[in-house]
Amino acid sequence: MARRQSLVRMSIESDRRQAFEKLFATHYRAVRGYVLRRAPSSALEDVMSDVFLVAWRRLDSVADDPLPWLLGVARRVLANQHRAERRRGALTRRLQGRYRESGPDWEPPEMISGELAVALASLSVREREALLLVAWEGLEPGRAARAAGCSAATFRVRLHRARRRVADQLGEGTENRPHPRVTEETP
Amino acid sequence: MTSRDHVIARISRENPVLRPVPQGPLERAEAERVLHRVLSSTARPPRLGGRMLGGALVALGAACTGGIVAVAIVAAGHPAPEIASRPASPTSQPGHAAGKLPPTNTGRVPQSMPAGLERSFALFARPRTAADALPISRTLADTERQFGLNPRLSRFVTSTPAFRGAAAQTIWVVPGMGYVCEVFKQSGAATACSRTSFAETHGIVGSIVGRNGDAWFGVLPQGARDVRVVRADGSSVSVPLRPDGVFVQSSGQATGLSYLERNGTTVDIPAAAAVPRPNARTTTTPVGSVAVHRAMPSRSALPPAGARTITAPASSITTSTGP
Repeated sequence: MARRQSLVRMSIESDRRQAFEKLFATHYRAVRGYVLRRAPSSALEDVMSDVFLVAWRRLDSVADDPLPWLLGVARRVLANQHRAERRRGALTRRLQGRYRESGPDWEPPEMISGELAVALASLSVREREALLLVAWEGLEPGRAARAAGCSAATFRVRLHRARRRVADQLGEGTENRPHPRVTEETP
Repeated sequence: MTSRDHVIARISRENPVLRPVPQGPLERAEAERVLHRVLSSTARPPRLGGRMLGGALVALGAACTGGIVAVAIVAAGHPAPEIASRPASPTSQPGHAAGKLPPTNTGRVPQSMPAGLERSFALFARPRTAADALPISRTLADTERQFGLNPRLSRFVTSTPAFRGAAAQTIWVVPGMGYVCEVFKQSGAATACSRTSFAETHGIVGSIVGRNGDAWFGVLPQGARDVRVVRADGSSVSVPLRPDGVFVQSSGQATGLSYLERNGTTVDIPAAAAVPRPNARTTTTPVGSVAVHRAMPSRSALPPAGARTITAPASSITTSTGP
């Protein structure tokens, strides 16, 4: 009986591992791209390991469409790292007797133009993430909303605001801009 | 196209990470390392979140070939030179085992210097001095557990100056349970480990690859001699060998290194560029990294009876660093 239970357990573990490896092989590159667009390459393997470790441990709760779920995990892992870095920086500044200096909440990738970097930096974290999920990750708003951890309606509002603000910053001609019709973003 | 669509298109055009097709060997190697980390983590207590040490991000990678196991722990924070434009050997070649670490050591460490190391290396036979102490032992926690390293037995090897795009490095060697590891320190730390039995015979040799050249260093067993860096044109340069078996040489673009063992056997170690061989393995990371290449003759390259020359493939690790 014990042997039978052991065999069943081994079979389940094997299936679980196969499922995980399939998930890993299918989505590694997309998640990797997401991370590299938002973090230095030196952090890549740590972040990727953390993301897929969460996926391994919560494999049973991974959604039918895993990519937005994985990107959501990656977003939270990066946010945790960012918070930790900010806390450390704040502590260092306190120890040095400086209280007011603070780093930017977003470091633009080196490869994007200064004009666009300034425009993106002017957005709130959530608005920027909404815009980049669509523009860089190529997600439709419905899937991007799941990655951002909000409702589709909320996501559309964020995306709309972000696009409008960036268009203004880039001088994209507000006079020609049509009325904000969120329906065009519906997948 | 509306102006808002134009915004999306504009941002898309400036996407900093476009997917190359097909997946390159570097990315494959990186994926293998990540998968290995995840699956090996599940057998250990949870280790979520990057290890942050003194403001540095620590990454763990692994590479294995023949009798060599290498682990890299890197703390970020130095002006990283670009990786040398050397071809990386695909890690998925036949015969390339996935990076395999030894079973996690359960706190056992050698309490005294392993006799084999003491016998083979003058460096380990001499009394320990203050300079031998590792100033970065805290960053070695993972490696210590994995290989059973005892930092109290460490020995200082040498310092390499900053050269040709590579940061200055300070190098120690640390005995463990069946392994001996080199520890590199710049602003962070990296380790590369090999089996003790292997190191006792063939020494511990590596090269640091900078943007425009490399430096070779090593600790050779007692009796080794005639160390030479071989250049692309076939000429060779003699490398001074310290009485304790340590050498270090900034070599330019060397194609390899050779030395004579105590028994007269010639050991040829090709540079990383010559790596793509069935039982060699190189793992590298993208631009923005410094490569710490570890070159060692492999077990399978031991000479048959009567042979006088070993032409050994190299193995290497690459440790990524960042701003």
